Amino acid sequence: MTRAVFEAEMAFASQPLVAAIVICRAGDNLHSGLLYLDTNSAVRVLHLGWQDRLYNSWGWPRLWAAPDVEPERLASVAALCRLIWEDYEAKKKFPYGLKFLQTSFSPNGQLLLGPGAKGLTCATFVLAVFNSFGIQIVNESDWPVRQDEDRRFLDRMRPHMDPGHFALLEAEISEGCRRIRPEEVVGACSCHLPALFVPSREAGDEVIRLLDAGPRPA
Amino acid sequence: MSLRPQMFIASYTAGPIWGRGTGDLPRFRRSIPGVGDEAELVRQQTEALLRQYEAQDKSATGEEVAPMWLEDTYAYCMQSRDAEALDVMFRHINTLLCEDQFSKCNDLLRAIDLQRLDTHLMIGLLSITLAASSILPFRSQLVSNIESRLRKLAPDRVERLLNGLR
Repeated sequence: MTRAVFEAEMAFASQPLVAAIVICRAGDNLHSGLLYLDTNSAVRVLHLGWQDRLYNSWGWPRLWAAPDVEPERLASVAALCRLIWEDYEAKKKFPYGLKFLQTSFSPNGQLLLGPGAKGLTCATFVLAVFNSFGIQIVNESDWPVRQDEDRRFLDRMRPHMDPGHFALLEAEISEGCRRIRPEEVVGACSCHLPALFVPSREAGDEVIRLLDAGPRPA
Repeated sequence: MSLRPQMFIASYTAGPIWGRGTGDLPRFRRSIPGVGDEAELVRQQTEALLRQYEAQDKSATGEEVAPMWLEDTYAYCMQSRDAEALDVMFRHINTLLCEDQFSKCNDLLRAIDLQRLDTHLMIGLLSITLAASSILPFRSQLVSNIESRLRKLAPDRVERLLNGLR
């Protein structure tokens, strides 16, 4: 189990794990992605950004944590991140495993959510990548439905979202989906997996406190 | 023997073709089968062709044939270059699965030599094929084979390594 730590306090590339989850504060919102090493040992961040596009770079400070799994499992996740980015750049496609989410990319690289697919957010994209390799970060059934909070979040995101994507997420909220927040995904890394809501939420509150405090001076 | 063919051969080869010269004489070596670098090149190319034909013969009889990219994977693995090995494996297996070549992928799983893979690559193999586990009949046997190997290589970590991959 790893507690979240700032890149400035522990450089991701300086330790042996090759994949982790990263979070930052982007304005009023929190944003998460997958931190991993490419084959040249350069640090990359794969994340689902605004306008439902994939990005492989990250301009914000990095607060990161690795889930409690064996290094070989994280090495596979890092390789999957490299494959996802390679396929996205070349063909605007998801690898086979993620196809089961019934999501795809349009020719201009915009995410297309298929019927029955969960509306992907930055956090659920991270969960989906781990899930596709059998790593269940959270026990989703333990999460509460928080419709009011989710609607407020969606209203803040509306100007940045494709109308179709917004409509899908709005419908999911109305149906009572259990939305997992970015800080809860990072918080789950300090819990036994699959993490339950209460400890993930508590750890997520600590993640927010760390983000607001910033890295400790060297 | 007329001079002209030998001159042609001499001009064609990369280097001298007569036997070792002495003093001011040019150093040549004879380009006849069994002698010189060209012969070695021909021998290597012949062996490669024979391996290829044998592979085709095996394919015709239904034996599993390992694709050539697997040798790259094994080579990277031997050099502990696990990231590159995983990339090669993932790229090729993902292509097979995305193109619905499940039978070919299943044959590949049979052909893989687990003795030449380390724990990273064995776990990677199960990971990249997890989504297609219901349509790859050999995968369940592969899981069993990998589990046996892991019990020797990492006996204290087997369950954590395989959790969610069976």
